[in-house]
Amino acid sequence: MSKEIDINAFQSGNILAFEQLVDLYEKKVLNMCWHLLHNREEAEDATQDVFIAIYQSKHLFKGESQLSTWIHRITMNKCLEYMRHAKRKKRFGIKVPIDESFLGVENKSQLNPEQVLMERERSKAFFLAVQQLSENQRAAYSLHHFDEFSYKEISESMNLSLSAVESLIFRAKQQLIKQLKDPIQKNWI
Amino acid sequence: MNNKPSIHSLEVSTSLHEKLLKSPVYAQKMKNRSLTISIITTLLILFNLFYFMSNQKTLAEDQILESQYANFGSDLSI
Repeated sequence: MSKEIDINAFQSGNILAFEQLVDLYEKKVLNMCWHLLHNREEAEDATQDVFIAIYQSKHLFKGESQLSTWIHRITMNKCLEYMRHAKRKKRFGIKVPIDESFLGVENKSQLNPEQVLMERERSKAFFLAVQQLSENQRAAYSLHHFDEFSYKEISESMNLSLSAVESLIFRAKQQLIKQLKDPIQKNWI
Repeated sequence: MNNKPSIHSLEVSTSLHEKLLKSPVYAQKMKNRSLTISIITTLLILFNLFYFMSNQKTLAEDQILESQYANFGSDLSI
């Protein structure tokens, strides 16, 4: 993807190059934020902050990694910031809810309303358990589980070693197994 | 029923896309705002510092005048 963008033009502040970058990465960034934050409004705000940060720190991109990796790293840092902020808000009794549209159920047409409701409740419990994980565990697990990132991609995005990522995901799974009693939910882990 | 919970992927709305394209403008605004704030902060610190220093001088003079040495030498006779 990064080959299609003129990096030099982008770094010298060319607006067209930046617009090209927005077109290429906006959906990926938005969905990464969505999978990590579980709330559409927060995900959209975070996406906007990510692109502002990309523009502000364009001169810091050294070309040592792929442009996509650099963008993922900025996205990850911004999402971690949002998670910490949500944690602080929670301490004051303000809770950022899981978006209802986040709890979509696959093949809805095959299920009756009762099953849809049950599935929704299961999903909600599952995502609440994911939210209970520590920031790094949640980030690594979500990237692997929902964004289908490889361990290598996660390690580059989170600036961690491969073994650290493996350990984070392993511990996240252990934690989820401990929290979720329902065997169906355990299958999802 | 045993499927993983599905998360539908989000589409970027037109309004969000517009906002994202305006990121350079927002970045510039943020830069200007933080520059203004740092200038105002520096000016306030300097103002406080000068005020404190000039006040310190007056205070020292006042303290001497109010002390037991205020009339020192006035009753000395040769």
